[in-house]
Amino acid sequence: MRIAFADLLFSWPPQGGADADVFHTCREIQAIGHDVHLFAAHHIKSRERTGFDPAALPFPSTRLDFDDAAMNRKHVPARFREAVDAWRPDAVFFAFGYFLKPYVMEALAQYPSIARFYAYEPFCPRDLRRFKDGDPCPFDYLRTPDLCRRCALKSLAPEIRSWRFLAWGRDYWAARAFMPGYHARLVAALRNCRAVVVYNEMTRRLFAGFNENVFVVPGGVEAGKYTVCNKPESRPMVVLMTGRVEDPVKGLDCLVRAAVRLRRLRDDFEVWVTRSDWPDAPPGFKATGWLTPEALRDLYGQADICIVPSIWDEPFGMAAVEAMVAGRPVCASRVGGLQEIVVDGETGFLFDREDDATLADCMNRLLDDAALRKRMGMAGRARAESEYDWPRIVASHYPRILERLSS
Amino acid sequence: MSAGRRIAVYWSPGRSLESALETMAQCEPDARLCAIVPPAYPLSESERLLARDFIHADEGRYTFRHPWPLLRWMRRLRRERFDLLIVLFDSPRLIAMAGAARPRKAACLLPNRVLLTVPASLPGAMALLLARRLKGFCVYALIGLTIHLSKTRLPAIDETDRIRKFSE
Repeated sequence: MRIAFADLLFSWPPQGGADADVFHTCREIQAIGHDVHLFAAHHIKSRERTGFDPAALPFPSTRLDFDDAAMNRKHVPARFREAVDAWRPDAVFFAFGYFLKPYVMEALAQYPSIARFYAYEPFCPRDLRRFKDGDPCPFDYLRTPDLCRRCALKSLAPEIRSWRFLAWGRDYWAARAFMPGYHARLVAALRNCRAVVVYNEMTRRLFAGFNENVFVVPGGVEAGKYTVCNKPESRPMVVLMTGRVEDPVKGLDCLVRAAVRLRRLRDDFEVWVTRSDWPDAPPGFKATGWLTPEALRDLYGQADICIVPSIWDEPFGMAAVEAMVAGRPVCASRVGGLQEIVVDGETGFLFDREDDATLADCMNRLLDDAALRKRMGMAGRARAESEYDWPRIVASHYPRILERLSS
Repeated sequence: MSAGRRIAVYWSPGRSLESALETMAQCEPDARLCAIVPPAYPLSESERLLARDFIHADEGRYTFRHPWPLLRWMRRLRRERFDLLIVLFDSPRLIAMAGAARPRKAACLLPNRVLLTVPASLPGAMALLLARRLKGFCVYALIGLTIHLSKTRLPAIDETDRIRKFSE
């Protein structure tokens, strides 16, 4: 089968989980015998996206460059249509995109298609997170569009008023996503897809009524690049939190509260976090700076426990999978996709959102017991190898999804 | 041509400083690179190698009534007389800072290595920010009117059966 991948935000090297997901899905689908071609938009004045060099990818690709004037709801779908039509695919896989994605889906509606969503893009025009004022938001754009339109405008007001957009706000304006007709376009695009692919069960349930063929496919890691190093017993022990920890939804505050609580009982541990500066860090906390993927893999080797205390409904939770594949026990909050990754009591512990007391207990238990850490780390490694290694993910999930395209 | 040029890169969170220094070292191999970083910034090995000078970005605490720490910091930057001052985002604060530092040229380096020129004087920076803000307010008012005066027509959704099916 000839499958065209259409992505509006792709960058390589990756700038997020979605880019890595697109890259590995293309590569592994090609490896199981399909022809793939990635068509990806690149906004040349993007403040966040670096774009990519087509020659550096292990599969055929075309970069569609857009300047400010062309990055709109007319030119972008037209360029995609022209490029994809010329390649004559049998099916189209719509990968990452914000508000312009439904326009591209509409332009390529004649092809059988799959749409992949990496967070809550169709449900939250505010910031794709469905998280507001410190709590998960009970509303979603597909069901309560007028409420969500007002919320999005309020949230994007600083960007619009200062006329300085990041990709999300720029797309919102370019796609005229505030217009009442945008909702109908999005619903039509979703219903036209033969299959929708998401990261977790919670997102799958949100699609009820808009597309019945929703598949849960997790993200993955390159397990071969990680080696489990047996860390020698040393003091202080290291509790590690990785990812974009500056982002309040990642729950660093919860970890700080838990660590401060635990320090009253013991002081034989340090907390390391991957942030670039932390002038007011409490005692016993250390900022490692931003790290390259190689340095990050080394850092997991130096850690004793990894913590993922997110307070929003993480669609996936790459930090947890990376820690597991590095053979480290994980304490993660019971949210979104994280609760599907960590097996409570087996590969680590789950605790309720923002429950620092339980997190402190879990950390204490793991810090006390080297054998438990090792057992959970090994169980995590085995689970990551069997469930979250890219070739296995594609081989076990995509054949039945691709069947939908030919049915 | 670039021999002796002093190029300063003002830090931003993330790994942007390192890649900006790498880009500038490739584009201007003879230039003297200076990194402006906060006092507790954990410099990476390659950042240490790429930049010849480091300046601590220490604006201190300032308010509208007590702007002296900020003015001192601006004076410090002006004294450096950079040939090119690079900021890594074109936020109003960074554009105003780049203008106030009065380098010979100022630019914003985008992640894809494109250099966007920004005003290298305070009046120029203020004019740019004012024009943007004016346009932004007009567009914001237009969107606000559209949202408050229009209603989305919802498609028919029979969710009960489907929700049951999805929950199984």
